[in-house]
Amino acid sequence: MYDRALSAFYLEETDRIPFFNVTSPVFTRFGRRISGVDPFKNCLKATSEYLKRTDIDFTFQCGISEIDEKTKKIHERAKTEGTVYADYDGPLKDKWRGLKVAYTWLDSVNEISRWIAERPFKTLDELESFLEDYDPCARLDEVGPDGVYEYAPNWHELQESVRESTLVPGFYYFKLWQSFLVDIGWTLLVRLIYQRPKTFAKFLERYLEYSLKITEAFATMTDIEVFVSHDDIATANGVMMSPKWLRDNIISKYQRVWAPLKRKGVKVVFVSDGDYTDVLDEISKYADGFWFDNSNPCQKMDFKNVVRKYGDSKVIMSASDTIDWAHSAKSKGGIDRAIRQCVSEAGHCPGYFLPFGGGGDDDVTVSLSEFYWKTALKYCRRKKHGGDLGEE
Amino acid sequence: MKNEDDILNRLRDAVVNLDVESAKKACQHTLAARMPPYKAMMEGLSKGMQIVGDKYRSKEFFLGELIMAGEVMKEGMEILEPHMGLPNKGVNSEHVRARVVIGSVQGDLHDIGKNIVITLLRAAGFQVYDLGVDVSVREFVETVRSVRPDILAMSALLSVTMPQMKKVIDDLEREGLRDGVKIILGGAPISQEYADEIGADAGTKNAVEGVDICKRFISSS
Repeated sequence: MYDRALSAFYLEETDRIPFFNVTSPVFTRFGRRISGVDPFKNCLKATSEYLKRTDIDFTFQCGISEIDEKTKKIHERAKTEGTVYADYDGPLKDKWRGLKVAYTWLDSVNEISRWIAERPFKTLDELESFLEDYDPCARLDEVGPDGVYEYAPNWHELQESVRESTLVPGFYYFKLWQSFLVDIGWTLLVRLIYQRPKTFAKFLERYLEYSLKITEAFATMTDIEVFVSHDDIATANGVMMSPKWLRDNIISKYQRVWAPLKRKGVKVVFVSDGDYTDVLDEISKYADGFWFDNSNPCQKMDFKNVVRKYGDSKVIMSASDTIDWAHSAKSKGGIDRAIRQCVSEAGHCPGYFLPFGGGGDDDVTVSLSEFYWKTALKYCRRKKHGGDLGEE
Repeated sequence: MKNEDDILNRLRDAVVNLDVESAKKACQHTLAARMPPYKAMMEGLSKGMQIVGDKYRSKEFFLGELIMAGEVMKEGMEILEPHMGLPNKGVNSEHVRARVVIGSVQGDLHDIGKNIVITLLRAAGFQVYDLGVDVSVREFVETVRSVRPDILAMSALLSVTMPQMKKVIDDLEREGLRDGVKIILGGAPISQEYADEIGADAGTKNAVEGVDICKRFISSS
């Protein structure tokens, strides 16, 4: 229920632990079965039916655009050829001349992975010259006012279709740090940071403006209650840069990026891949909650530690370290144990959300998915509301 | 001798301080002082990389520092290498500790972890054959056949590309090449359990640990 999710964001105890959904029914067999709608024919309808019928309170999935013909063709080629290399075909074509993108088909999630494989600069001087003419905000302007906020129209559409049942957050795959990293690549970014720190700071400001445009768009064009802010600052081995550097250069800027949302009272959930424990305290100064996907072998944050430190004061959208779901769910016993462990470790926290669906779970059988759903419903209801969870 | 020690210390410190310009200057001094470039590499730059690795282990340094230290080492090597008379990047055959073939498996285009491992391996005296990214099963097998490395290192960041590793191992078995080579897997989704499951000798998420494992392979063989 929308209200259940919203109450949890205000740290009010709800009748049961709310569920949050990670994937779209497009990517789960269970989702396709339970929605009763072919998501490839009507993605919005499939998504809304799935959310309503499962009583999922919060959905991360917000991009519900249909796949265009050109993309479909690339998918088909990548399916048979493995990896397909193509010229960058997005906005800013001229400014990105010389850039190659690689498309790899990922069987298990039934979708394309898209990577920048070749950039039109090799040295720091070439990079600096490129960046002088490059404005990340232009990629938003070139798409046009509707396209700039590509997720905003989707948000309206999806939120309207599940008005009572599910809270849909604002989301955009923008990243202050990660956009910069993806645009120019690891090696040159690191060299820029260490060899030309002033130049790095100058161009980082442009990425900040870019991120700010998006949060301003959501603040002015939508009525979102929650915004999911994504920035990959960590790997499985920990944060990418030193905590001090991240604090001084990146995390301190989140406050500015999120300011338009905060002024409207929008709650902000921070999400990053990897283990960002070393900067959790820093992020907690600005964010209202954290999402981390412990069912992903690349993630693995210390769930108990996060619950101990922030269980009373923040929203926590995650699962116990031993969650046995998307990647290794092979038995009902494993699922039962995993959910009970999540409930036992975090069920007492008013802002805790149990994950529903992992990162790539098309290989999980329908019966196991269904078992997960029913088991979650069984264990997550609080005692004063007829369930088993909580004090006598 | 004092001059030589001074240059070696400067080379080491340049890597630890992530200072490209100092490393380049110290390498030029190495050549001007007629110090053997191999010595400058192993006792100067590589020593610095070892310290950087230790700092990474103790969480004094992070991924960014590890990459930058690799860049400093690379810039220094570009000055020293032409004077080493080497057929293959890194080390003269008389100093080769062991040979490693490395690559990211088919469908995986990630190379940051792999490249860090390569820098650290070269700094530790390994001769490295880098096959790059998106490497097919056949290319791994044929390279093992022709190079006969001591170690095969395969990298994957995407869990969906991990099955390619098993295909390589299965093909090496089938073609009688498996016994002569130690196999290590690397990448964020990799674990020792997965390595055991598919018949590799080791698996790790961590580049520095991966190099330690390679050193152990060689010392125990």
